[in-house]
Amino acid sequence: MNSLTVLLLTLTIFSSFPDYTERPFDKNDTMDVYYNEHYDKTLVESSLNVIFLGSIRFYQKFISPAQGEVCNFTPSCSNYMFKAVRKYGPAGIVMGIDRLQRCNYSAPGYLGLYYKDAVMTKDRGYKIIDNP
Amino acid sequence: MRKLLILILTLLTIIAAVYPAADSFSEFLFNEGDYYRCITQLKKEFYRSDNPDTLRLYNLIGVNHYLMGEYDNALLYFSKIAPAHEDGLINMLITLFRMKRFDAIDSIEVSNNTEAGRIQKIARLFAGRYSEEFIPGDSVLHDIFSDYHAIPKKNRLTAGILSAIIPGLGRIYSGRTGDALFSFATVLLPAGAGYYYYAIDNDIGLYTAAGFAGLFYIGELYGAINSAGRYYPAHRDKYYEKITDNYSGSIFKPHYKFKSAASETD
Repeated sequence: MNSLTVLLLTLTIFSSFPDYTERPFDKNDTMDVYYNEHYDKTLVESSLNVIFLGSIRFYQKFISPAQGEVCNFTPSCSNYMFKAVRKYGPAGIVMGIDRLQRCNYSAPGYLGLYYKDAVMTKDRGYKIIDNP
Repeated sequence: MRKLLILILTLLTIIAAVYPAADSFSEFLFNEGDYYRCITQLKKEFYRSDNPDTLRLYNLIGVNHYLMGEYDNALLYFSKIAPAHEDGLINMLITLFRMKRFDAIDSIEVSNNTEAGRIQKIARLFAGRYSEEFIPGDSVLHDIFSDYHAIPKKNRLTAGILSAIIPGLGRIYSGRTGDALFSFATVLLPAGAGYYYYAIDNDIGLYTAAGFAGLFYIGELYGAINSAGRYYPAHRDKYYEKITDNYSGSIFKPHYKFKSAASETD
C-alpha cells in the first residue's frame, strides 16, 4: 500500500503535463501584480504566508496538472486560495477551504443568486467568477 | 414651360410623400430599435430647428440612452429637464433605480400620490427605510412590499452552531444543500480515516487525517456563517431583478412623446 502511494506520488511529481498548468498570474500581468506594497502587506509580515504560498505553488506545479482543468470557478480554487493568502494572510487558507467545499456539482445552480457572473472558456464551458 | 412646372411640382409631392418628415423618422428609428441613430436624428432636429422643443428632445435622447443601457448618459439628459418636465422626472427616478442609487431617489422631492411617488416608495423599501410592518394600501405596492418583507433572514450564529454540531447543517439552514452535502463529506472522510488509523495504532496517519478533518471543519464553520450572512442580500438582489423585470412595462416603463404638443393640436 505504502509503496504504491510513493510510486503514484513520484509519477505525479516527475510527470510532465505540458497542456495545462495552473498559474496564479496571467501572462500579461505587470510587475506590480507580482508584488504590490498595499496588497501584499500581510505577506511580508509573516514567513508563514510564504510557506502557504509555496505549498500552493507546489500543488499547482506538480499535482494539479494530473487532474487537468476541473474547477467550476475562475480563478480556480488554488488561485483563489493563493490570492486570499496574499490578501488576508493565514485566514486566506480557511477561505480557500470554504471555496473547495463550494466547488461541487451544485455550484452552477447558484449562478445568478450567490454568484453574479460567469465566463465561457474554450476547454471547460462556463466558469463562475468568484474572487476573494 | 407650364408642363415642366407641373412636372416639378408633382415630383416634389412624390418625394415629400416617400421621404418621411424628420420628426417621424426618429420615431421610425426608435421603433426599429436603432437607438444610436435615433439619438443622432434627434440631435439633428434640435440643431436644425429655430425654436426646438428642448424638454421633449432631451427626454427622448435620454430614453434612447436608457434603452441602450447607458444609464450615466441617460441621467445626464434627464437631470437637465427633471424639475420642469414631468416625464423627465419619472425617467430620472427609473434610471436612478436601475443604477441602484436608492439614496439619491430618496433625496428628491416628489408628491406622494403620483407615479414618481410610487417609484420613490419602492426605492425607499430597497434602501431599508421602512419597518417590516409597513405595507401601503396601493394594490401594486402592496404586493411588492409584502413579497419583499417575506424574504427570510438567516442568523449567522445559528448557522455556526448548527454546523458545529453536524458539519453541513448550517449550510442547509442557509439554503445551500449541495454545498452542505459536499462539505459534510469533506469532513467525514478524513475523520473516518483518522478513526481507522486510530484503530490500527498508526499515529502519523491519525494526526494527518485529524489535521485535514480539523481544517475542513473550520472551513465548514466559516462557510456556514458566511453563507448565512450572504443569504438575505443575495435574495434581496434577486427580488430587485424580479421587480425591475416584472414591472418594466408598467412602473418602470420610460415616459416619452414623439409628437410635440404643438403638432398634436394641429
